[in-house]
Amino acid sequence: MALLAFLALAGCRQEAETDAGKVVPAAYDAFYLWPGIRPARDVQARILYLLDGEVRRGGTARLERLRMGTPHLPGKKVWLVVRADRLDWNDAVYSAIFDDLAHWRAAGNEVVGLQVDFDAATRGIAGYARFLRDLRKRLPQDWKLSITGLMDWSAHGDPDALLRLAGLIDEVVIQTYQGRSTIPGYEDYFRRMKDFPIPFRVALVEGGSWQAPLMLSRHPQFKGYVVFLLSRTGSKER
Amino acid sequence: MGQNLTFPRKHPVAATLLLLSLSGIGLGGALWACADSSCSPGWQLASPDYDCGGRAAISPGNDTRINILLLMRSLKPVNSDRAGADGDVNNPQFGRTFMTWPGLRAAFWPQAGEKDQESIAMGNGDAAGCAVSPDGVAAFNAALAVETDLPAAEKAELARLRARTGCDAAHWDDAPISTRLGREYLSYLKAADAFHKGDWQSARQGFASLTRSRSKWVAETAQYMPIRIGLRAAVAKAVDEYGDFAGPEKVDAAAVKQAGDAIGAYLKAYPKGRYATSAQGLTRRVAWLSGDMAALVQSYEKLVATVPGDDEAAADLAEEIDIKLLERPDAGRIIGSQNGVPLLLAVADLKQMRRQDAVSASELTAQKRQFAAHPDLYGLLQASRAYYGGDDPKTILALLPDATRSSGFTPLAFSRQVLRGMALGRTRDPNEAGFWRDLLKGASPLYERPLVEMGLAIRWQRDGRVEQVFAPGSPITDSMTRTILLQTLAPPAILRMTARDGARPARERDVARFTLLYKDLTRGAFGDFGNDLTLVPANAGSEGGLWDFSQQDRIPTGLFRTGQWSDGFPCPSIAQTAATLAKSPGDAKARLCLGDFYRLNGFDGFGLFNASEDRSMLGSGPDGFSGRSLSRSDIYAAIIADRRAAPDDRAYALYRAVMCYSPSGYNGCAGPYRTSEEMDAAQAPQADRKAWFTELKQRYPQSRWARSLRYYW
Repeated sequence: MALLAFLALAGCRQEAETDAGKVVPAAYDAFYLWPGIRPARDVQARILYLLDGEVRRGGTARLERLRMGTPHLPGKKVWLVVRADRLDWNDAVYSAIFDDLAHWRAAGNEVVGLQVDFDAATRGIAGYARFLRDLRKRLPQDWKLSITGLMDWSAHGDPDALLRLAGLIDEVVIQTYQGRSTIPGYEDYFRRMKDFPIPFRVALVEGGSWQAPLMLSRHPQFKGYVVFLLSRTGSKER
Repeated sequence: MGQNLTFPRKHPVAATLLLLSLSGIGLGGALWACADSSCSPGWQLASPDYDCGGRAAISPGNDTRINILLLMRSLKPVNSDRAGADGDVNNPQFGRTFMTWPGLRAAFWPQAGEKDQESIAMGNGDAAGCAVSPDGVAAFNAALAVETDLPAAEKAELARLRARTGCDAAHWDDAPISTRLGREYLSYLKAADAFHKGDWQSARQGFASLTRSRSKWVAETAQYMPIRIGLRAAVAKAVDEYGDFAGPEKVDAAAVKQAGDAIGAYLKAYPKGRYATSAQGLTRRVAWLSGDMAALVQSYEKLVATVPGDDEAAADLAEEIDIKLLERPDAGRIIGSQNGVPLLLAVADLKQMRRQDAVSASELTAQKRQFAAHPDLYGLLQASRAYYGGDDPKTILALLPDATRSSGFTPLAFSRQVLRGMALGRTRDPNEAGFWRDLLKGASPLYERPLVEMGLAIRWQRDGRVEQVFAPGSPITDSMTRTILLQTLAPPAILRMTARDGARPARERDVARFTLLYKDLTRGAFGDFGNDLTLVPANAGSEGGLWDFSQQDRIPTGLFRTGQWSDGFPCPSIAQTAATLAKSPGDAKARLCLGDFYRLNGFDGFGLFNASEDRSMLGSGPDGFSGRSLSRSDIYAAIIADRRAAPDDRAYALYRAVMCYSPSGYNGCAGPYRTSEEMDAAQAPQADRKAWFTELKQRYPQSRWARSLRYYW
């Protein structure tokens, strides 16, 4: 039930303390795992999106690796995720990422490919397409390429730009949340996604509210969900 | 290309992570600070509990990293005549009054520089696998460049090999390097290659053989590298299946000790060496990995006291202290057991004060000796304890004398004055407003001034003088504070005045227009709507949606001019509907059209800034609109209850009332709800929903609404 989506839309929301309509990880099989987060015992993961590192603002672009070591997750499909604040990647960034992909595979993981997590603003999507075209050329053929996308894309994005992305990437994971909360009004976004041309998954946040819009299950490009897991033990206080 | 892109909504989790990846180790703790937009600051001065919006005043609710940094910036004069920062683009709800930690960093150090030598040593460069760090390559090439005895061809070959070190299987022995010096560089690269590939034994032996190299750079670096080998070996097996740190108990203690010894040996050989700072910094990692918290606390205290607060290293230090020390549940006990650590003690005390009475007056008294050199800080602690413990505010005024007449404050001095102002507020001192005005003069535009403005605005709000905020020449210039008051307390006259005021920012004027028109409709001031609509420019946009009104850039005032009026039930423009309602407020058709205007233009669940009931918070109080807010549910209920309503209208009201519950089973026509109790209270019993459905079907079977409705929820 889209319970929380109705709660105060103004500015900041006080989430109601209720479990109705909340995303429970055990009901899903694909997850985002940021460093330090691991799934609870009752979770049967089939696909894992693991954040490897970030390419941050400031100084020369480089891959800041965020995991201490190489994962060993036999039997799971693994996506290597790189978060980027910038797109002016140099050869060192590419070779570090491609090396990690190879290392993860060599460690016995079934690595599907690379996901770039960059928040392309609508007006930046053309530049993002250029970046992705270049990345696609560099990325060895045996890796798939996935990107994250905010829901605004389908709301305000330039459809031509989206079509240009269609040939470049194998998958988009559409985020429905900000921080810990599901973005209210997601039903509207998905309505506008009727003709979205790229295979996509929908990212939900653990504990967020979610009711699948009717169109989703019928959408020919919809491939399933990815649940962003939150820290189990960590307190939010600092 | 990347620099031209904007980041309207950064990935919040990643923004947080950015803070935690200091060293790639110790990531097991809380991943969630508050860089996410589900988090909003409490718009009040007091900060009794952890608040995701930090304040420029050192206080219990501040993120501990913010308190540490503000404290460091108080110890020595800092060079900070920066103008006010643009708000935090990732957290627009914080305005300029509140700060997140990443926002604060970005404001103080807008051009974040290269990481220093130490973080290179501790970070990326030590990660497994191919580790071509541009900085490492540059250092190596710089070393080659000064070797006058090395042939150019060998230099070129060595530089080529350096770029592949750690990456793949290099054929070291085939390299065309024959001079003795060249061979030493080659040996260095072989050892580095072994290091990056996790072959500690070969790496150790390789570097050990080079400490007397004829290249000064090679010799010194070879002396330094055992430190990093030890530290990396120490955690090499402490990795779980996800590639995360598995915990200090999995650390190889012998390797940690080797690293510690290597630090001593390096610093003895090169007390002022090129890696001396790094080596000294790594003593903290050795202490941490070996569980020597006393040593760690002592070195943190020393650094807090000495690292200049305007150096970005201060921010890195605050993060490290937070992750390695303050996040531990026993941090308070560890710090409390040490002597001579007043600065850390103050930070820990403040954090403790989040729980009322967690720090008693007598405990603070017992700490007095520790603060002998920091009486102002101690006074702030005492006064904070008194304020948040609910003591007589007069004690606070005695602890914190008025020092507002200053042209600038250290963060600590500023914090003392803000707390004094809060105490004045608590005593209802008639001069409180004057105090805030005095404090404005010396407050820095960066976070301090907006905070003081909020203090003044809240006092005026309490005195029922909100018009002072909007008077010409008002000292309240912060746009976020003003737009909050526009949405909440501003009476119609002030909204109209702001809408017309060309001197105010466009967004502020749009908020005034939107609020005015929205309240004209929801509060039944239909007679004003037509005139007020003339305040909206003809070309006003209706883009941007309504799902994040208080934060969004674009305010869709155009909805009132060019929105969607109808999708089946015939309705004129909202201006005409309002005009009809002005003449006959009970007109059922017009009321249904008002409901459709809300429904079709995204107003279901919409709310303006949601002020708390607490009068000490900005925006709390009555607003000068007389009518009660009417929701769609109210409209339908009234028409359903009116048996004399026209059949078409009643049929439509029944249809819409049922549809309010589609498809979730929850009432989507009565929000926004602030709590689940409010939401529950707005639910009609399912029996009612069934009755509406049945009545529609039985009484108006021929209506298109009856025919198109197949379910109820």
